Amino acid sequence: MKEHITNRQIAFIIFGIVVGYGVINLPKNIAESAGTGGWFSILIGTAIAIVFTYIITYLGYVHKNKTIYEYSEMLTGKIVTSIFMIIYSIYFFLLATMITRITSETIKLTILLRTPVWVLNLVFFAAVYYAVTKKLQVIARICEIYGLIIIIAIITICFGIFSQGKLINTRPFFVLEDIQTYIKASAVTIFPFIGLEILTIIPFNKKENNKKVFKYSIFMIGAIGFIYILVYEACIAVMGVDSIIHYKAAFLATIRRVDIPSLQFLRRLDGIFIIVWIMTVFCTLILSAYGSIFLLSKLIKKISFNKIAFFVIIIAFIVSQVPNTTAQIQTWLDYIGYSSVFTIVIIPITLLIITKVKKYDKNI
Amino acid sequence: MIKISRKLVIIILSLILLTGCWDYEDVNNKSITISIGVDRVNNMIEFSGEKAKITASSKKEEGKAQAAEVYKVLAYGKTFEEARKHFDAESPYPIFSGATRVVVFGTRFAKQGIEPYLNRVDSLYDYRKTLLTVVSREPAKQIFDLKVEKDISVGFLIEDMLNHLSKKGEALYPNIGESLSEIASGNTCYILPYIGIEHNVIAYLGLVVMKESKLIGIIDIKDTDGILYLLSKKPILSEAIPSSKNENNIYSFRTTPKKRKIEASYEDEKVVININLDLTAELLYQYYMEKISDDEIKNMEKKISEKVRNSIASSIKKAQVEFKCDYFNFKKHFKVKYSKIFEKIDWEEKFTEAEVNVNVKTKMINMNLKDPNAKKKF
Repeated sequence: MKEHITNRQIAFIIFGIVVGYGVINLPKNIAESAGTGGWFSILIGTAIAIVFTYIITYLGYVHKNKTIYEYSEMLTGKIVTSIFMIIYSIYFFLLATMITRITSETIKLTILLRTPVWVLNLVFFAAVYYAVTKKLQVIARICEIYGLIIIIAIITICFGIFSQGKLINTRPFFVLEDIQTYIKASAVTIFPFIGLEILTIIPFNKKENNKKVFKYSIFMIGAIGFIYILVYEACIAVMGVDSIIHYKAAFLATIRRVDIPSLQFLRRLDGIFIIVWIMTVFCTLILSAYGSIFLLSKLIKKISFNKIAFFVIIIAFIVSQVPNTTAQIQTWLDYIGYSSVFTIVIIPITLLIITKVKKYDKNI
Repeated sequence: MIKISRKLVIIILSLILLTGCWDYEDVNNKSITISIGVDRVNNMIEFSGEKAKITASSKKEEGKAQAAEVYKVLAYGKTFEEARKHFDAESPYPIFSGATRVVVFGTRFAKQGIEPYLNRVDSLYDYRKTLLTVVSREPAKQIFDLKVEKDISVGFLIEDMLNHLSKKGEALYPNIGESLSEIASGNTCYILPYIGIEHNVIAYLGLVVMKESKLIGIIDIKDTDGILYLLSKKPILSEAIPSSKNENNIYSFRTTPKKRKIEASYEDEKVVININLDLTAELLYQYYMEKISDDEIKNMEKKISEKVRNSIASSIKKAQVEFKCDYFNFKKHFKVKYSKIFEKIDWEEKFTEAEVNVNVKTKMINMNLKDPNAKKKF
């Protein structure tokens, strides 16, 4: 059965996988490399992300009703496709695994001080397994519902933070002499857009996903960029760039420095943020786990999807226990980030060139 | 069949993992910290403070709990960790610090530096990062030993007092997070509220100047207006101006900044700070009702402007000459505009030599619905 989803759901899938764990340490990383002009670096990062979103959306749009597995096989043959699929599968698998582990570590260090990390991992993986077995349409609906809640909550929280911040902390907005620094820093701002390659495993439908799918996906990347700028500016307005660089969970640290008396029992926003943040992480996890399992099920056709899902989740749980320190997890995440060059840039561009050369896009 | 068993496993797992908290403890079984005092006594760190005494209420309200009163705590140690160990050893239940209202630093401790304690609060999870910090003239223990009749406890009293004063713009309410941001930004100077025991009650006495997180000076409450006009979020201050016709008659004004603009510039290797303050003044009352002409209004506006300008200028002069310390944070205004120059100069030195221009304009906007110029016909 082909699983078709609407354009809006595609947009929210992008939001679901892109906005996740990274939002918590985004202000630190950007402040470290771009200072108060970080918004400009985010803007450059967003523009680059839009280009690759367009490329991947284009591939799906040209090869209707096909996922990367099918159109890559058509374009490059079985062997190359198998290599591509293994790369994507391992990439999504490690993304899900390490994000689960780092999230559990953060939760343990911030709210559940006495809960073992493996227990938190187990809860995450159990929920992810259940969601993944319900396949793409259900996952898309989860992302749609969660996405709306997350967007409203993050924007509300940011304005709450702004109300307690100082405008002078966000200045200077732009220093012309520092433009090179801003451009260099955009390398850091591209990482928070990792995950958009999930579009490669979504089959586009002729009826449901017309040309507007480009508008939806690009608009969503733009909206994510806007949210990132909002989060960044809100955080530095309260903490200042010099202070925020010392906090790995910078967004949470900022929220904990804010107290809005007029909100009465909601005066402390950290409780709301933790819920929303876990929702964002959950969306990232189910989508990346689904990506890995889906591609594996394409490679190993003899075993059912649900059985593969079960084994992948068990292995993910074991692998998530491998790193001993948070520094090691961070190293794993850095490598995952670097490998996204293959999944977002090299492989899609290769497939795009072949599509263009073989003129597959002429019939659309 | 497999599906049903899988669902059962998930339901049972969810029941075990998600229902309630397995290590839940009732509020009655927690030692809730209300306030903390940190001081130095004989080269030892002294932790004092108050904890809520949670008691079961009367028979009519059985099952409910209420914070009826507090009990005092005291512990010593060479380090914070050692003092905390003794603190824990005295506590009947696990300590919960999330409800702490205030940290009171004794003068002796503040003089040696409060930064290590600020970092401690920042890193311990359950403390609020918006915790109020004050410095007390008397040893912190003495503050907590005082019997409080105006509020639930000393901690609540200090917090409530500074809260209402800062809302009126008559005091500052700096929290730990703000102080930490100042320290991280390289601003070595900041100010904290200063409290003490006056006439056997706890009172707000003014501000203390912290340089490199060490207490270097005290600013009396009567000299704080100039600082409040610049640093308070919404200062609403009162100004008493004698009438030009009758010195015994004093006009009481409520003044509020409408516009506050601070600009820094760099001219001939000299820092110039320009402060423009537009005030609105409301005449609350006169000691004796007199007619007020338009000229008198203009005269009053001029006098208010002059008084406020002088108080701001003298506050800044004090910071430049006496404390050599930029607790007004003009540095940020300069850095925003001249980030490259800022990297090359010694701000502390430049600040002490800076030219400061204060320009205050006052506009009287109402007379509190009074008409002093009413014509008597009968």
